[in-house]
Amino acid sequence: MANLFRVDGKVAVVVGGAGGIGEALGHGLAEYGAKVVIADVNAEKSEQVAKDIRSKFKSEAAAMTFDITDEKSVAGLAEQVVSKFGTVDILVNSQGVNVKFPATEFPVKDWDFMFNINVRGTMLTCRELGKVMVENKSGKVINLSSVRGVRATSWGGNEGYTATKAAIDMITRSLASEWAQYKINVNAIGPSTIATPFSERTLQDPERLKRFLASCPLGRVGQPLDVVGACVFLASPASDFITGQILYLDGGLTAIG
Amino acid sequence: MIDLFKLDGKVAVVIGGAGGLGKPIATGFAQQGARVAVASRRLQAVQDTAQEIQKETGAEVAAFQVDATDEQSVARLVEQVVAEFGTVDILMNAHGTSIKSPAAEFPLDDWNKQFNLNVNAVMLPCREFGKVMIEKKKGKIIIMSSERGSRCTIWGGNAGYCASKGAVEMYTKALASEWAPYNINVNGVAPSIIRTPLTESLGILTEEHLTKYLANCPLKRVGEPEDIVGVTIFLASPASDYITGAILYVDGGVNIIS
Repeated sequence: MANLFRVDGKVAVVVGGAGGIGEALGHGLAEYGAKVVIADVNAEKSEQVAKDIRSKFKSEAAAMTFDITDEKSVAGLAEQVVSKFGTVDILVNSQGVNVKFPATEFPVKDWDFMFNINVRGTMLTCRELGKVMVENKSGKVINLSSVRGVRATSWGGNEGYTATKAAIDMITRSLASEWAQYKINVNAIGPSTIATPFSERTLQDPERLKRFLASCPLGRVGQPLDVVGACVFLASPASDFITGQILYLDGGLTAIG
Repeated sequence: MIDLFKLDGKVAVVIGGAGGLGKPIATGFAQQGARVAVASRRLQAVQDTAQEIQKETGAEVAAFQVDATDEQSVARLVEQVVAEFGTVDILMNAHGTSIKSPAAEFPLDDWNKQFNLNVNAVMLPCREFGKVMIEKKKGKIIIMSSERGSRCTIWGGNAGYCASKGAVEMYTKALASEWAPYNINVNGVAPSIIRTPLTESLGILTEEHLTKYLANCPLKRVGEPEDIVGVTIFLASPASDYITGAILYVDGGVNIIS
């Protein structure tokens, strides 16, 4: 049996690769053999992450700056990846923002901003990098959803965020169905709270943390390494017969209610 | 970083270990570094399986006879495994069966037999091996469910099988919740159709049946045992430490369309 969990020589694009989860995923995919593209709007941080990966794993890694809200910029990213690495095998959408407002006061500007990055951004990167995979008749797409795609919070403010994640879940299932004929697996990861700067508000406020932990059977927040395990699994041959699924990394949160 | 998918030194018990899924799963565990106990009703078959896995992987493998529907037999298995290996870290329930009948005519004997094999025979090993895991505050339990635990077939005859797998899914979630304080992860694997001697003998791999199945399967193929091996190693390994109470569908996308 070949090692089911290796991604040797595969070209992996990590969108949002300069963020907390994205950085961990870039390192994780490199550790298991991939050539990694750190694609992010933050040029300086992307360069740093790519440099760290190169020196830590002696592997190929490149930073590519782009704007996910701009169609042309996303198309440009796909071109750049193909021109540098020849192809794309794995796409990880780990970008995302969480803007909270009470539902009666949600400004359209903020609503659009969040949908632009979380939903339209996922559609655009899938569309543009997916073209290469359709051509290859092979590929693995991993979207970042959330437990909030299927469970609201017992507290308010999350109307917009939860809606974006539910949209990502259905993008994931629809693409999985549409691209199954090209042997492209499309799956998502649905974390609860992971210890990164993205979850700072929860992590640093004892009340919020307590509120979260009360809903989590395992009684802890997730670590970036927990996301790495799931992502490498979904990027590797070990998951070849799995498609359209949302893999919950939630310490049991979605098992109860 | 440690290799997240290695099982070095872990003791893994595979119930149904001589079966079409159990054997490749046990082999996968052994390849990842686990010490493996394969258990089955069929003593000769499981002894042969243990020998083959040992030969192929060089791992420590032992065979045990068990009737997973029998309380005392399961308790004895736990004693034997602990005596042989000192502990248990991973429990894989790879056994199960499918008995079909039109719902209006379902013989109670068949219904009971199916629940006994698919539900009671999962509860008992979990209960007994779970005691060891609770004691050490650590463990991984993997339960074989099915696509049919949450989605029925468009053809009939599956009321009993579907109900038994539905029961197993909720058992998985309840156990995950109850044993989370002990750091025990409990998850389910839900395949659609995997090519094994069992699915062959049940007539599931006939062209007529496959045509109906493939119409609903985006990836347009049945699964191979290796597809199940990858997901079970993942659920047995540190890579899935934050995943519990989940049902992983290994189904080529069957459950996402209609």
